[in-house]
Amino acid sequence: MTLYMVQRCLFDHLRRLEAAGDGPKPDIVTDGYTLTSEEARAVTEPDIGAIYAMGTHPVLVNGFCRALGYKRADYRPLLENSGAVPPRRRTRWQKS
Amino acid sequence: MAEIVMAYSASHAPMMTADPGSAPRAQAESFFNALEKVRDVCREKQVQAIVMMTGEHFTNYFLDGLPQIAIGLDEEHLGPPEVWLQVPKKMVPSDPGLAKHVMASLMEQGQQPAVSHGMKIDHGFMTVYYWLDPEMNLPMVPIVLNCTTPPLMTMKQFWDFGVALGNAIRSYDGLERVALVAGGGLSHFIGEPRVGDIDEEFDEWFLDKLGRGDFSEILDLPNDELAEAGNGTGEVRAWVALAGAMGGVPGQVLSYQPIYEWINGMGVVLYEGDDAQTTT
Repeated sequence: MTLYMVQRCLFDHLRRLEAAGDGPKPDIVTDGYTLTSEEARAVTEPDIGAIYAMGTHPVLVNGFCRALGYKRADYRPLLENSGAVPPRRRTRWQKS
Repeated sequence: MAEIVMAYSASHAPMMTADPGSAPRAQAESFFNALEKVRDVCREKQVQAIVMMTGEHFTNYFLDGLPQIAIGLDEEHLGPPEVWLQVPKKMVPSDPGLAKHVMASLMEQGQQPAVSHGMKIDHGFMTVYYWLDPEMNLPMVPIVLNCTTPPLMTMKQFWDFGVALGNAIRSYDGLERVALVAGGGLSHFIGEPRVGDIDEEFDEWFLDKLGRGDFSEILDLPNDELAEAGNGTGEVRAWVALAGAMGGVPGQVLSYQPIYEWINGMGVVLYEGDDAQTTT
């Protein structure tokens, strides 16, 4: 349940940012979500690697990074160093 | 009865409208020239409405209730919600008669799309649609597909959905000339450690098969193997559904460009319409 709560927290935050438009950007809200202390730390700090490693949907990771103003080159290393890089397997279209 | 007078699949990377100049000029021109050709065909065929499929990006649904397929049934739909997309926000007209008929016909054929009102049409639709009709007056029936949140429908299931969708459109007697459009793909990775990568080998393999009308391997492709080509690449499910709707005939690959600045394999595949297939 808590992973859903992390994702709900991020999703609601992204919607609040969208609603704010060009106005002041609201801080992320954790009250009302059932989060562990580590989850609350990860979303407020924020710790993108930890958010990714706990299994957060990549669409939310992408949106959250975009909202933080991160470029791809900024957050790719955070994900690469998250300790949760999935192993790659060979595919039928792979030539090399 | 309606004919599907043309069909095409095209990538929908947000950067194609948000920052088109960021791509190498020759690559961008190849992709946009293909979209212009599609636009010319659409005008030549005097298309009255389009039915468009694309992936859901948590624009309309979230994890608390995520349909595998949903059809927008309103008279018009607002888009895009992304203010940075550089596409004017507009209430885009639909054809609710066609939408309701498609919904009912799909149900009769054993498909179970969700009913949707108030559907917003995000970059998945608007990037491609804006290139098709910059005035954004061409009626569009929107269909969103779950392409990123497991468990996912298989390629074969989307093919079957596409076959049923084609039957549904062709059994509508309120219009004569409809186009079918798929947005999304080709390979791309978002929100994960390989963000920015493009699996060119997958894109070339997939497009080669579409160009030859060879779907045997594509329809057998397990979801976990497809995911190796990128966690956004699953949007090619819309392309497979479209190919199913067109009877699996070979498509014409108008362009393929791996545009790293847009973090997306960008492609356009055009299919001749029912009229061409009945006259040859």
